[in-house]
Amino acid sequence: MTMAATKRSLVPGLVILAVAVVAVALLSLTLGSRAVGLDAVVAAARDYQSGNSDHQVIANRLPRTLAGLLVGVALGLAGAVMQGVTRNPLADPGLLGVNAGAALAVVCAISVFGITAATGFVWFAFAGATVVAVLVYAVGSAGRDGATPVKLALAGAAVSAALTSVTTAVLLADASTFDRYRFWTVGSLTGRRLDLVLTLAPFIGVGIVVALCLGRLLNALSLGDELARGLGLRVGLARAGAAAAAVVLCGAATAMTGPIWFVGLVVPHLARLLTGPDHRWILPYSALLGPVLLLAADVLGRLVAPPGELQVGIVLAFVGAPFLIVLIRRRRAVEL
Amino acid sequence: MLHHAKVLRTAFLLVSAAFVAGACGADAQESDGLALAEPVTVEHRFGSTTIEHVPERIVTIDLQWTDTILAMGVEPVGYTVDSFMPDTTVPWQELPSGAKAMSLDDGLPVEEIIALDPDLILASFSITDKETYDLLAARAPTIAGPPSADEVTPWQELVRTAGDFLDEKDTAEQLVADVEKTVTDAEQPGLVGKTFLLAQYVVGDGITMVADEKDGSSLFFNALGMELFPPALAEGRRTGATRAQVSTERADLLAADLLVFLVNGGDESDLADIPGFDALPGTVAIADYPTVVGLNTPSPLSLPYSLEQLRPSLQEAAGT
Repeated sequence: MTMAATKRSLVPGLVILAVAVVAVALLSLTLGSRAVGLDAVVAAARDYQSGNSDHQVIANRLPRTLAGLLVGVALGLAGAVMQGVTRNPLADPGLLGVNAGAALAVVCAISVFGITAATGFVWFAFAGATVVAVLVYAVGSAGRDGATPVKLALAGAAVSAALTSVTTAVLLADASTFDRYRFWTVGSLTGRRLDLVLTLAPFIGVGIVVALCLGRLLNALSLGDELARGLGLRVGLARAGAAAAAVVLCGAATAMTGPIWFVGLVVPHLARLLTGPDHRWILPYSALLGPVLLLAADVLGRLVAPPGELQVGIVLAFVGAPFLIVLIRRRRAVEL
Repeated sequence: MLHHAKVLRTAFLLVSAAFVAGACGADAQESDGLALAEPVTVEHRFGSTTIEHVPERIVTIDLQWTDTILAMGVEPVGYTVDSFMPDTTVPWQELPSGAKAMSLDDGLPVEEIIALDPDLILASFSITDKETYDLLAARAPTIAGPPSADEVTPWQELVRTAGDFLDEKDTAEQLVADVEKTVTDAEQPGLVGKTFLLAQYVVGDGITMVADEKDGSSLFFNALGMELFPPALAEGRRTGATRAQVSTERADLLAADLLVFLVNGGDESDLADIPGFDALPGTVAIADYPTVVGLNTPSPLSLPYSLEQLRPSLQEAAGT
């Protein structure tokens, strides 16, 4: 198959996915514990009445939907980049210790600094994610060969384990911090404020642009270090830059909603199933599949346990785990 | 005296723990109080405990017992604190300065409790396993909570039990009568038949509401002639749970004549997450943590406090 033919056959898929993103976003505005019709959504968009409780419900679903879109894109892309950089099909954005770092920083923010508002501790989550990712990268880069995929994965796993023990130790000793933390850690799109979403949106926006440009570079890295060097790529720099984009995306997403698993892991596999191994297509497919999966899971969580809701993180764990097993059993996951 | 007790003794030894403690510890013998004319036997989660002497060194675990003992005019030698309370103090308690405050954050402080050389240990729900109970019961008669973990013992029962083992039955009856009178004094014709609901918004997650008419808090409102909000009751009956989870989008399930509401993990600005909350038809009382705890696990001290906090809202609800 020539490159041009591949492109032609993959473009319609992107269009379909884009339509699917719009569709789940509309579902996310329309469906929930409280039923409002699509006509009410249209009416609220045309002429918002602050006294109308249907309109208020829709207005409250707007930041939630936006958060779902942004976090979905961010995690989908971050997962694809991370799996490409480390050439590890089980890599997810948490591999570089991003989630563990964010969690420890949030616990410190609550426990040491007494910060309990989400707008306060997002910066801690973000900073924690970044610092730990840099640390993992530094540890993984030590030694003769620089940051090889295996060393990065090992360093990430080791640092994550160490940080998680510290987090657990703090939480065991401090019940009131645990009380706040447990709501953050479950991963939820409920009650995200528009200001919080808008504060973090620029970071995710920059991350998206950078990540989408990484296709060629990830393709070169996937050939192996020697070949990539042969193609004139500065392997260490390329890997660090790509990882940085993933960390910004994942850090901002985790800061917004708490750690959400599976999206970053499953979405790139799905994307590769549709596109084959070319990262120039895996990345945009992942960017669109992420929000479809995340918002669909969120909408599902609103409908399965009325009048309550299930947090999106829990729905994803239920849906994502068997899904991943089926994916791996059906055919060998597309090799990296 | 250090006494390395083998933890697992026979059931016989455990039941007669008072004798064991008396026989093994020289200190314990001195602190043995007056023998009770009729020994008091209390059934609880881990069996039954018989108290033979008027206790002089009581350790209270959990608010309800601390309150009950204080209300009976007795000072505990040690008590546990609730770290969720603002400044970890309970606004309705005046605690003796000599008593040891113990944190439950790292689990039950068994060693600290034993070091206080208690002759009675009282708990509502924080003794959660048989092993811990056995450790404590080997040193002093110990009363754990009610058989079911989410059950709340009526405060009247706690006061009467305390009256029995303190040999102060009249004081106990007087206390029950006084506190019940305080509650019934708040009765207003306008409240009879009105609906009530106790709920909390866990910020960024969802709403939890009390959906059981037999809950400690429900009994208080029942005493005022009020009824649990029917949709909440229906939800509780449907799921069989004492607490019901509700989405932030279902403000219609909060539309009781009187809604007592706690914002857990935030402040009143977080109520914006609940569309329609500001347009609820009934009286809305935004309560603080102590007030809600005072209703949820009522004691002779907490009830008058929580009642006082809610009085303006009760009047408003009665007036409408």
